[in-house]
Amino acid sequence: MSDAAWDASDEPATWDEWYPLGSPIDLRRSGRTRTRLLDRDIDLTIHRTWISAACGNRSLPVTERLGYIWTTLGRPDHAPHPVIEYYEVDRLVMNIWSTPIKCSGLRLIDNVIDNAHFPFVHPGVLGDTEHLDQPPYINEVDAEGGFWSRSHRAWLPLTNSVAEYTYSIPSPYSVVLMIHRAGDSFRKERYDFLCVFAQPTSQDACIAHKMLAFVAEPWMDETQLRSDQQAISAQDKYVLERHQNRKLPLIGGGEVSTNVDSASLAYRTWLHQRGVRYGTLEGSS
Amino acid sequence: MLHAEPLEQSLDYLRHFWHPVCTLSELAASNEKGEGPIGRILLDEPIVIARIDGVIVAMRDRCAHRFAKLSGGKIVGDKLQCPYHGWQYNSQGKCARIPAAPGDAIPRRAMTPAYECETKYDIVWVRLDSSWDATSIPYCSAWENPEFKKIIVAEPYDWESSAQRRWENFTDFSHFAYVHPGTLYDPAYSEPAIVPVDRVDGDLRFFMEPGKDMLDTLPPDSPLGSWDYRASMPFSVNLDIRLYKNDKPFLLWTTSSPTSNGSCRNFMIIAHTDPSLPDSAPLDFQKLVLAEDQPVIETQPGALSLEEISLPTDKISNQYRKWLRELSVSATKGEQDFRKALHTNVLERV
Amino acid sequence: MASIAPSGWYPVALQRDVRPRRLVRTRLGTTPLVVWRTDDGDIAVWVDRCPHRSVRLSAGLNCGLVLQCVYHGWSFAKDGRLADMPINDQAMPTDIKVGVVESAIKNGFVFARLAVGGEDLSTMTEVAAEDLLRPIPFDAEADLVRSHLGGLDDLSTLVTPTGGRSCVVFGHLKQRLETDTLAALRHADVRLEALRRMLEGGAGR
Repeated sequence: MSDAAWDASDEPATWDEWYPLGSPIDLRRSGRTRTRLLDRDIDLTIHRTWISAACGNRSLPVTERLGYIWTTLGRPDHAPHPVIEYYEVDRLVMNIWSTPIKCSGLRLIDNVIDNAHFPFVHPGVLGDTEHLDQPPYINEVDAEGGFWSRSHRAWLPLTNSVAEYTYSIPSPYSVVLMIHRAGDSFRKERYDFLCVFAQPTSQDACIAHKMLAFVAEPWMDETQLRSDQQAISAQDKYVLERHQNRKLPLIGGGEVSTNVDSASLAYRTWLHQRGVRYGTLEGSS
Repeated sequence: MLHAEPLEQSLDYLRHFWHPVCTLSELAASNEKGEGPIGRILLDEPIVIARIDGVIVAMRDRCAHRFAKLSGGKIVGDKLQCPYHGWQYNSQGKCARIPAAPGDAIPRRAMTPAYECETKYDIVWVRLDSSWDATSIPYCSAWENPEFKKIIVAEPYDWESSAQRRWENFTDFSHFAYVHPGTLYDPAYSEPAIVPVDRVDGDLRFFMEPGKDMLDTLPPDSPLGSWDYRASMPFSVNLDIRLYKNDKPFLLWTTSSPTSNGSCRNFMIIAHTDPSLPDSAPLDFQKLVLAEDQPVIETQPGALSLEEISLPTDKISNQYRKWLRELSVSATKGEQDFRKALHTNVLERV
Repeated sequence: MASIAPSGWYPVALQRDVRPRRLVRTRLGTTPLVVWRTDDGDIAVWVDRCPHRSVRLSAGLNCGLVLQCVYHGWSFAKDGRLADMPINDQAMPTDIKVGVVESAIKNGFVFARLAVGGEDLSTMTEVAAEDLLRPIPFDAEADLVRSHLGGLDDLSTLVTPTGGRSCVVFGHLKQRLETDTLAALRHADVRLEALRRMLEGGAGR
């Protein structure tokens, strides 16, 4: 089933990146000593104050960011994508969960930036069939080569309001959702952050690490928030594991698109231009 | 005046905590009898401390008559006497005698608030607001470990900096470089440790293990070893060190007393296992370290601000600030919320 | 997995198993299939893949006259054409279709054909509905299973490959003189199960 001929080490866009392995709290609790990244076994050792990782007898660089342990098999020229707002002390931050999903990590990211499925996969929570309109998205690539998709709208039935979403994809397997919210006296623009980082275990499977960093409001209940977010993720996981193509087609691939798919199409084009083939239909031998 | 959004909207929550006001030796040195009264400031309130009838008491340092400082007076029998008109107060802060009008009834308002006062670790502690009784005197391990042969309760020293800032400076280790042990990879990825931090029974707890290879480059007095922190909120740090050089324990304990928004008085206890080591040795070393930091810390504004930028490697200070903010907000809501914020445990370590 | 597209007609479901407002998920060779019945009584056999984002149509909803995909609510009518696409602010494209698979109902079986070949359906003998065996999936290669079925002369069987190493055995009782159909069916079931255990556990894999 696996395409042994196509290896992630052959493409810098996939190889020279940081990937999360889990939250140190979860790793300590579960006593996990083994995980998988880009078809390789990764051994974890849990020390008293830190966690180390190795691939075979090669020690890997590790760093802790955004509540996760990150590592890399290659040589990235940057640190894991920063969401510096995570460290603001008036935020509620949470590692929602880390769950294996039977599809390529690229499919996962493609799903996150697709607002059109909200009324159907998350009815009554992130959308409903009365509010299907989506404005035209603005998709662009920034100076550092990161992909952005702006001007998404989500109708929130529970509060009868529209949320504006901006998606930032700094690397193929990471998406940062910025939910626009009210600013304050010294920060005119403030966002609630919801991030999904995929750990590609193989070309057609991944572990989804989902976390949030919301501005703390007095009415927020941590337990309820986690449970609500996990329910949304479970709904997405259900659909994600039912794609007949577990890998992502970058060009066509028998998938027909409409105008509301512009973000997904732009993301796929961006991947193609970066030379990403691992995890895609184009990468099959 | 440059306004910056404060982290703590209100500092009233600090009144519910115990703070140190003086050492027993300070009280003993105050006069021949060694019973005070002495005057101190706590959260902008003048406090007078005295030993009345063998018990150390604390009350507002202000005579109800003409607001003179009681700390300028003297102990007469079992009363504290004001130096101005000789009004005498009992240990509960009630005026028991007015010399100018001995026959008249003493006015109901002739009293000065007395505060809950306890002695622990040879230090006098005061709690301004005991109505909730939701807090305990901070933890200190000096007397718990039989290996310690010497316990030194140092003379307090003042800084023109808030207690919050002082706490953060004491626990800040990103201003000296050290690396995770055993890492061999590109030095570009080395950084100060980001360690698990727990909240346990009102204490912030974390553990650090700086690299042993630093032993060669540091002066012999420096207490390099594994560091076990148990920091009782809000301003106390109990640092149990297991020294690398001889595997012996060494304790560095400090608590900042918030005299006002931008100043604090700092108490320190050192405990170690070497009976032959003169007290001056570790005390001088600490003074050296303090002298290096003080000028910088005193330039910081007293109040912590939300506008300050937090980095991933600021985890200890970030967790500290989050908790301070939660305590400050919860106290404005009431006792239940405050208790919940202080006593809900959060465990990152297993 | 190497693609397997057998030619000719193969049973993919029992007609009675394709119930109203439900979806049946199966395979013919390596092609995933969804089989469903409309409220009009028609049965459709499609490739189990939504043309939008290739999500399994069998995970969606049989709404009676259309099959709605779980992902974005695209709905397809029984001829396979896109009937409704909820989110659109331009004219709905008319040429989006699911992959319709040629199908036919005969003798209580739903037959499907991916490629022309093999026998014509008209050569099949008539069978009473009560005589149909329940379909039994085998974790073994279709040819191997077929080669072991020759000895069962009171059963008529059809083996549908569902992948490189799996298949489903469909069948019915041959004309019998005894009237105890249930006993005969149970007996046949037992023998096929025994065959299955033997082939799955042994050298067949």
